[in-house]
Amino acid sequence: MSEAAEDGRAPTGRAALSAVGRNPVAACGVVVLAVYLFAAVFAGQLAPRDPQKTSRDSLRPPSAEHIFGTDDLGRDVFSGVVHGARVSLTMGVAVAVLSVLAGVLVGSAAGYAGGVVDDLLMRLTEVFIVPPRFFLALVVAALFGSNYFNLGLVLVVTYWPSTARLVRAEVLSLKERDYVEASRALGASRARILFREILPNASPVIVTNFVLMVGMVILVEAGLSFVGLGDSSRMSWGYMLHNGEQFMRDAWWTMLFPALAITFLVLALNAVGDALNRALDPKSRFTHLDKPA
Amino acid sequence: MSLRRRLLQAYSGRLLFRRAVQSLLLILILAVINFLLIHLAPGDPAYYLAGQSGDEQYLQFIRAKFALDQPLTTQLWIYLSGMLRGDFGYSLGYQQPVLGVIFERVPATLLLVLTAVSLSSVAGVVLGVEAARREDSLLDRAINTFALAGYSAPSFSVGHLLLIVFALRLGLFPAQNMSSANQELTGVAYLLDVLEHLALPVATLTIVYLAQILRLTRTAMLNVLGENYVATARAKGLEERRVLYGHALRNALLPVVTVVGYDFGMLLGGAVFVETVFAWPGLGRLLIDSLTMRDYPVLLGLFLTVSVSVVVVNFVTDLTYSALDPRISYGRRNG
Repeated sequence: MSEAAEDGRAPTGRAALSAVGRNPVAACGVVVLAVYLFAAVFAGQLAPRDPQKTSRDSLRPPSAEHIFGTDDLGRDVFSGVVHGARVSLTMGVAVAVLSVLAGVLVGSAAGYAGGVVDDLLMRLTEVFIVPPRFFLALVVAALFGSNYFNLGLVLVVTYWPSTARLVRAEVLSLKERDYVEASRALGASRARILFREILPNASPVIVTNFVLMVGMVILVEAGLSFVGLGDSSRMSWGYMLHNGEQFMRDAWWTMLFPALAITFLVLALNAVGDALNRALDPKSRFTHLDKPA
Repeated sequence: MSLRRRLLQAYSGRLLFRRAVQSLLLILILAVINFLLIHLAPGDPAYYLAGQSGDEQYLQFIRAKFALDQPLTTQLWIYLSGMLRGDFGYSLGYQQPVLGVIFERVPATLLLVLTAVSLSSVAGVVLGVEAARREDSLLDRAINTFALAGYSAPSFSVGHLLLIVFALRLGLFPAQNMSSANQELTGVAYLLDVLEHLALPVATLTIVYLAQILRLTRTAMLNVLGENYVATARAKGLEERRVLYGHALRNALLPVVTVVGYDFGMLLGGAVFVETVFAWPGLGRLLIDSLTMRDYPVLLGLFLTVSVSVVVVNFVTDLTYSALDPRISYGRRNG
């Protein structure tokens, strides 16, 4: 299963890609992700109506005119689902990019420098790991207002430590490898060794961590909107579920489609993340991101 | 007792002490974060310390109590020493001290969370081991698919699905609350009534955690099964079940215990979504209620309680580690 080359270098991007391609579930995941990405980019063109626009057709079941039905204010559920992809993906990708960047910086500095720097940075990381992420997000949303900027900031602040720990562990093990030793013997600078030798070989772990994190951030954002603490300036899946809950008994379509939209997107991300994980050394450290319940 | 062993023990005792001090420090830091949040939030800190329903007279009282005209360090001292005495503030919404409001909800959350965590841990570990032992078989794939779906679906959607099917359509279980409000039940009848209400929330939480624990156990087992000592155990002619559950699982459990411990600490703060969907009167529900009522003292009190429970459970998890892994020890009998 291991794609690692003889000298212990990480599998190349191409090897990881082919591993995803050989796994039918992950390949489906990639296709699904492409569909969501398309929907997010072209939401304005794909959605038949403005998702926020109310009409007198309230709580209509799915029909030719409204293929996913309408909600209590006569808003088109299909348009909401399409636009929701934009909100969820933007939030998920933005938070994950920033958290992973911060985590890679701190983690590689700690792992590579070692000693006091390592100790200090890891103590700092520990402090950020403890406050329960979802609760902190709730408290900040309640105190500071729930807009995308605040929510994104809280999530970045609470997600980077998981990447930092992972990258530190990876750097610690990679820096002892022969090819790093060889590069050092050739007189390469510390920065060059870190950025040209170590980090590229840690990249599969980082990419996997990123993919899985996007999924978890999407779940957290949907959860915050579901309990009524989302940013109400845009139509999001979490808001649709929050709003649809009271009509659950009769208007199942207001709940089913947004719920499926979230589930399939996160499912696709996790399937791809799992396949990438498996393409690595089977003894790789796995990413576990807790899911709010 | 050999000198070496005694030295080891002393060292481990110090480690235990160090971890305890670290945990206390973390709790202190969390209390300070709580304090800073109140002061960084836009508007008057008195408003957050009093809660939305406080009138001008009450706000004056709060300003005096927390010395809001004094320097920030004095305020922090007053805030922290109040907490040390168990004064987490007063909830105007519930007409009660915050700690009392919180403790009232603890039994409901404990009942829900303990049941679900026990069920999902046992089932998750067994299914994870069985899946790993037959890697890539049909059973493994079926278990894996279930786990992936359960891990990916939002917990509230899992709850909604069970609610719609088993409560609203089939009418097998009650949909809301912890007991029937319209009848006065006592003794066994009351117990059965609560169990009936418990079924769907527990099922939801169990599915969600089962998926996580199963995935972790399977990965950890696959990592361990290639090790030499597993091969040795097999070569000794040990029964396969003893190799799996006795030798391999003992090591594979380490990462699983960490995660279950962390999640459990978090869940002690209430299963927010599950309690919301089923109107279960626990801490998670209290959190959402205090948010909608802008009852900030309860909200902040809950945040701190949950954080502390995470720290304490993590500490206990570390101790469990030493029981599982002979290489780690915190002052136990042998090193």
